[in-house]
Amino acid sequence: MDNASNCIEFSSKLAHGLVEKACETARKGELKKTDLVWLELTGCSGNIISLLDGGDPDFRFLATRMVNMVYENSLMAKQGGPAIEQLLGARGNEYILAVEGAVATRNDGLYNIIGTYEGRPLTAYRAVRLLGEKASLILAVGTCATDGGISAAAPNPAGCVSVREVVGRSVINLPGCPCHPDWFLGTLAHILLYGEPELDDTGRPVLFYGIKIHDRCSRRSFFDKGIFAEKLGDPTCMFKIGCRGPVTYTDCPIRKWNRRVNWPVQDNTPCIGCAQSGFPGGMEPFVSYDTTRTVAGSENG
Amino acid sequence: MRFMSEAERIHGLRSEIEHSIELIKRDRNIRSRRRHLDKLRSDVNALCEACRGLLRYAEPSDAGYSPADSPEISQRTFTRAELAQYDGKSGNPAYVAVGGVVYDVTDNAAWAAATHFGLSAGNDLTSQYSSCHASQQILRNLTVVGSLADG
Repeated sequence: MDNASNCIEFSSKLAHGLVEKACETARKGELKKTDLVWLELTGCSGNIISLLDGGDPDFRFLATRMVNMVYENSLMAKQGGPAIEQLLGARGNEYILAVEGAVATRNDGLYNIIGTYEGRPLTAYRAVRLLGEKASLILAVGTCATDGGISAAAPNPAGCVSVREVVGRSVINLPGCPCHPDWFLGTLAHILLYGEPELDDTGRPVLFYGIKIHDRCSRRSFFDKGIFAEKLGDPTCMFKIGCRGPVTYTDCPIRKWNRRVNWPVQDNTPCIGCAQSGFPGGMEPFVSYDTTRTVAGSENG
Repeated sequence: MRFMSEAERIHGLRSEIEHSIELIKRDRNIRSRRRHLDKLRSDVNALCEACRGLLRYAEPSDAGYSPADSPEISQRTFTRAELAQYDGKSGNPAYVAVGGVVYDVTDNAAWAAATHFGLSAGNDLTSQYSSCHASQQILRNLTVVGSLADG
């Protein structure tokens, strides 16, 4: 390739090396730990679960060596009033804010309440603004936080919007449904070691979102030869039946999931574009057998 | 670039056609043979379209292809009702219209299942294109198949 920085394999090694560098620096006690506040807003909490599934480094390393996790409602021991006090007390120090889930805004945000503060419900809408205004950096984790995602799917009864629309400042976007643990950990490692990574025009780190799935898909040769799957289970390119790899910018084909074991196409299901703006509605149909070619089981079959 | 993409498409279609012929020869099941014949017909139609594409002359422009640039293209006119038939379903190709020009997106990577970010083939997508891709040179790389009657 002419430009090594555009090479996905180079970026993967760079990302891996980045985290390794962060780990090594942390082991030596040279990494300046910063506070991390993780807010779960209008979503499924899938991103914190995904992060817990990370490996090399794992969540334990993140929480003990890289950051001080000040608040995370699913994992912290405190609950109720003391938990909210700890959340809001974070604003007294420097901290990075990670937000997953969209922000419900209808009825002043009463569709998503994350606690009680000053005797009244603390909505996600209010919390993200309170914590967002003083954070040194904001990371929107997962497609709901970056783009509204499933939470904002039509008809969007709760008036869900992205984090950036609410906080009114720049946000590092880490889309994905969920966000891959490496994308979060790698971005955080870069921030801790070198500062903010290079972002594309939608605020995503180029390190992880700089190339399309299509450009590194293991079935790309079938696409180029026009050999397409007619149904799920066919081992060829699933473009005709709805694969969104060609419009989705992530490194899933080479990074894979569940500690690099598998990814959707390898598991014989098309990419549904979960990390792309417009998901889910804009990526539908996820699978279709009514295509530009007749398929088995159709009226023409 | 358009010539190369058309040539590649023709090559791919030729492979598909040969594959279908072989399947028809070997398959004794009437239902599946009928399916192979349908696919063969679809691929032959697509091959004809691609060959027509090679015969066209077009100068690349930021605004896309103008129907007036080629007499062959200006002769093939689609009404909106005719365009709607090319929705990429039931074995039909996928066509879209932008700025009065009808483009074939059947094998365009961004149009999986003949849809693109919630838009469906078989429609005039001029306003949607302008709101999203106005500053990008995308149309020049698409295969032109005709013009829209009232475009």
